Amino acid sequence: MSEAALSSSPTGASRSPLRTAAPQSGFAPWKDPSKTPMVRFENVVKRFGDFVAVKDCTLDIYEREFFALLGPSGCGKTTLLRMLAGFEKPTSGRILVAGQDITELAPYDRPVNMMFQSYALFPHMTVEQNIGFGLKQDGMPKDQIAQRVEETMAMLELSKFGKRKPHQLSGGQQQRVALARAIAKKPRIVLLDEPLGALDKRLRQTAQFELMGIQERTGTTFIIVTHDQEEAMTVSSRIAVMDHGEFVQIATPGDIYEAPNSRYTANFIGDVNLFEGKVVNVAGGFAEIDWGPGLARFKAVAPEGCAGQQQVWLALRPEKIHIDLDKPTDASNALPGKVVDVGYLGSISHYHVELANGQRVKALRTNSSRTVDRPISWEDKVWLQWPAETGIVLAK
Amino acid sequence: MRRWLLISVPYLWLLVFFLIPFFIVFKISLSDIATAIPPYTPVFDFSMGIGEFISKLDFENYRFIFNDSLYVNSYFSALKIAGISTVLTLLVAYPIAYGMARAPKEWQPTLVMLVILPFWTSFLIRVYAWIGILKKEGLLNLFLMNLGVISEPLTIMNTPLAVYIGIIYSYLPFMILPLYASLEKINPALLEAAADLGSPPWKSFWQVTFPLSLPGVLAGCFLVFIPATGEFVIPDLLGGSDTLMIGKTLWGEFFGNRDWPVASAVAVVLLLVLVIPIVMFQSNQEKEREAAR
Amino acid sequence: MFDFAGMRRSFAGAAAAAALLAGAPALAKEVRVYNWSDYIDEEVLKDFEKETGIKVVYDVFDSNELLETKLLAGGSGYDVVVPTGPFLARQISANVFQKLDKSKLPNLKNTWPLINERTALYDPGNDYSINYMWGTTGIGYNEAKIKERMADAPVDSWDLIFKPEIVSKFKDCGIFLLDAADDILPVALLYLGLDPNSKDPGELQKAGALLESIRPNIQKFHSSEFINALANGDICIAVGFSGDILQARDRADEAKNGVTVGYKIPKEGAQMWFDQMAIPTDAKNVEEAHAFLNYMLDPKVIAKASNYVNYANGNLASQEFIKEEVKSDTSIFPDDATLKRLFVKEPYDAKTQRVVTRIWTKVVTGQ
Repeated sequence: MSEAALSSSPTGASRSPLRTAAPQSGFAPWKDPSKTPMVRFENVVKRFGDFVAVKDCTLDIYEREFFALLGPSGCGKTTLLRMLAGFEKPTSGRILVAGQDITELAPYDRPVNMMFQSYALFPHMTVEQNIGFGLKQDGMPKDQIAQRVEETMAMLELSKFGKRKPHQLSGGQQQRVALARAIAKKPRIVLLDEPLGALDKRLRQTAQFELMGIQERTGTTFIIVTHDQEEAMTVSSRIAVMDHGEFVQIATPGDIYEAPNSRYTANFIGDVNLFEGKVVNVAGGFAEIDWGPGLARFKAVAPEGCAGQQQVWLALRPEKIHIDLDKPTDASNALPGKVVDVGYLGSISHYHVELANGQRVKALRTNSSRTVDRPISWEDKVWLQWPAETGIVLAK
Repeated sequence: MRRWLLISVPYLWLLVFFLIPFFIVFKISLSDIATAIPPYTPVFDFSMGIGEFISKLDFENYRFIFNDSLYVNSYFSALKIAGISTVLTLLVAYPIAYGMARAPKEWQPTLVMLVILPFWTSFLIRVYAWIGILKKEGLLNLFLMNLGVISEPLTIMNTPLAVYIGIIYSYLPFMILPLYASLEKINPALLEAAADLGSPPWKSFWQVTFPLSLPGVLAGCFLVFIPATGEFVIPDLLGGSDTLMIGKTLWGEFFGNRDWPVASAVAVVLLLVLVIPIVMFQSNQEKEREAAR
Repeated sequence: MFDFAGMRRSFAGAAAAAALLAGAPALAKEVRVYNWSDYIDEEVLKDFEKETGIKVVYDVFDSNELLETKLLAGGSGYDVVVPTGPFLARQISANVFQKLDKSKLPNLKNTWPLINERTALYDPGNDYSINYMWGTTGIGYNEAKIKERMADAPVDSWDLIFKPEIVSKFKDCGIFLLDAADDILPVALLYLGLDPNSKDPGELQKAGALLESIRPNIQKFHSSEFINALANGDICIAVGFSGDILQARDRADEAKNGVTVGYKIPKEGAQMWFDQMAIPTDAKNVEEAHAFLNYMLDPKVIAKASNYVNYANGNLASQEFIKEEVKSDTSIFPDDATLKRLFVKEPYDAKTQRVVTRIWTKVVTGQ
């Protein structure tokens, strides 16, 4: 699984998202109606004065899941997490953990531990004391605390730093201490609020895999809040994409990427080309889309409930578009255009192609052969083509 | 060059306004009382050599103040009163500073302003006002008697209690401000983290808030304890005559006995009593910081 | 602690002096005077400026110790200062003052020989100073509160203070003593039948022991607080300076708070004190200083001052110009019999001073 993420990729969309979609093959408890969810948000609403931070959210998260709440800042994802931790009280609705209503429970009585965005390490305590803090609150005997702290430090490669104070650690080390502190009590649920936001990109990628490793080893339910779609795609079993206090889509990373349910999701996750148009005909599971006078109609798989005259958007991932100098002979969709920009990135190249109506389309091409007759370059007249199955018709 | 100039400013200040005056006082403390202008005989002048200087050092005035229990008792009594006052001031100031630090951000400048507000009135007038409150027929007794809490007026004026009240009241802002500064700096997420890890609020206070406010506690305690030790006006106005404090003893030595040398010796010893522990504390802190590295 | 005369003449003086200076035109000649606060009729100063063309720079102090510290530090910048007797004596021996040029003081002929004789104790031959005002140290009391507790209280006797069975009757209502060994120890010596000016350590110890025996009845030793405390009716008894207690009396009258303050010079005798005008050695305007002193020796001028501040002065010729109500007040001008019982305290030498101070500290603090 790791090579996918380690290969340097220009955009999140370039690598195969399917490979990280399911950490455990066949792990899909959300499909099993008999399972009790580990966490259930039930019609949860949170208002701050006039501002509605969370609008009627209902969500089930299952044991051993690595669940991501993804969205731009202010979308309500952090509020949702803080309500689960107990720092905010829902205006209405219930929160259940393992079937038990915890809505009224104080933060210190919840079986939940959080890793804070700012790490919130106690600056006056050593690393050991920070990690052991939660165990001490539970009245665990001293020798057991020491043992657990040692184990946790070993797991996170912190053993050398036990006697240091937080300000004597690097950012990456602090991040690991914060994680160690959150898992030391072996809680049923670990909450991660933008846990890697303060790290630089290289460190962040390593840390992502570390997080996944820890999550798998401890078998704990992890809920992560992030605005970084790549991070969400990498680590999580499922993602809830949020916008303005609502869930836009809850699905596995693969589904989110391959089958976004809206322009919002399609845009938020990876690169996408969007064409606006109208359904003119639905036949044999395929829809014909008219997207402008004098332009060839698109052919794409018709979504359920798709009807004529409906306004739709065709979403097309750049890597799904084939770019060629010659006009294809038997493509379901083909468009002529002119190359306006080329980005050579070694393994792949980016192309920006301007269509006859002025719209620009992004396309990718892998540089699999060293001896291409003639590389496609600026000002070249090209043809774009894609099969009908790869375009996604979005109604919203 | 400019950097050196900048660095030298505080040292120059220290030299001109602390070290030189200190040595003048120290020099007077080694001289003898005389009926003259000024009222002491110099035991040496700056023209003599180092050897002669050392051979002529005369610590008789120091011997004198250590042989009379009055002075030693005055120091101890002053340290005791200052110590108790400091602890009481801390107890009063902490909740206030805590409340200020927890208040909505937009109120905080106003609250800080309110704490400083008493400084707009003369210190002397504020201490005088307490006479009106604490005396036998003062506001406090009238209030309590009207409420029926007491039937006989309480004697607070001219007792040590009045001195404690006066010191706590006068020095409260010096305790509140550093406390507030250190409490306000504490990241609220730390308390959330403590709660998240299973610590109820009162435990979090002792495990997180209080230890992190220690620099403010120490700064406030120094700011109250040091001037309170040498305090003269408050015990003079509010205290009874038997409220022994080194400030009053020093005053009597200087003005009553006109004995500048002994008064200087008392002042030098007072300075050592206060400065040595502080310097020791500071260097200890420094060592701890070094050791932590 | 040794706030000899405390806030002897209230607070208005400084402000009045400042206003005076602001209004005065720029004059070439000047005299710098340093006197007790609220201790002069400002008109006297204006008249002096008008008559002589010498500008008066007038500053005020409120304790002898403050004045003495300035004088002993040197370079005070004043041409005329007004210390009290024992302070004057010590300052003379420290060479603080210059001899007066009596040829420039023709008005010396107006002085009161009886007062000159007594001030000569501090200033032999009155070579360095002239008397400005004088008064006594006696007992001030709240009439109603004393009666309430003891109908026949001996307010005209030191028994009121030194007899344990009497003084204890007033403990609950508040007794203040001056916080000044120089004022209280001599009275204790006198009460014991000893010389109030005794320098014998044993006798001084006895006086100290007497004071310690009544110590539990004393609420506070302080040299100025008793003025307000008496005027407000907060305390019963204060041993203090005549002028201060009379001031408390006037304040209570003005406030119409139902408090009546009395002042008595005890029949056993009491200390007489003198505020003396002198010229510092380093005075810059010696000529003008003499002119000022001579002006103050003018009977009409000094009578005006006495009428204003309610104190007796050392100018016999001035008495015909003094208001009847002041002159007939025996607490200001004691009758001859009382005058005979008043004693003058000699200055202590440095060694005795230390013994006295130590005894006093023991009395006051119990240490």
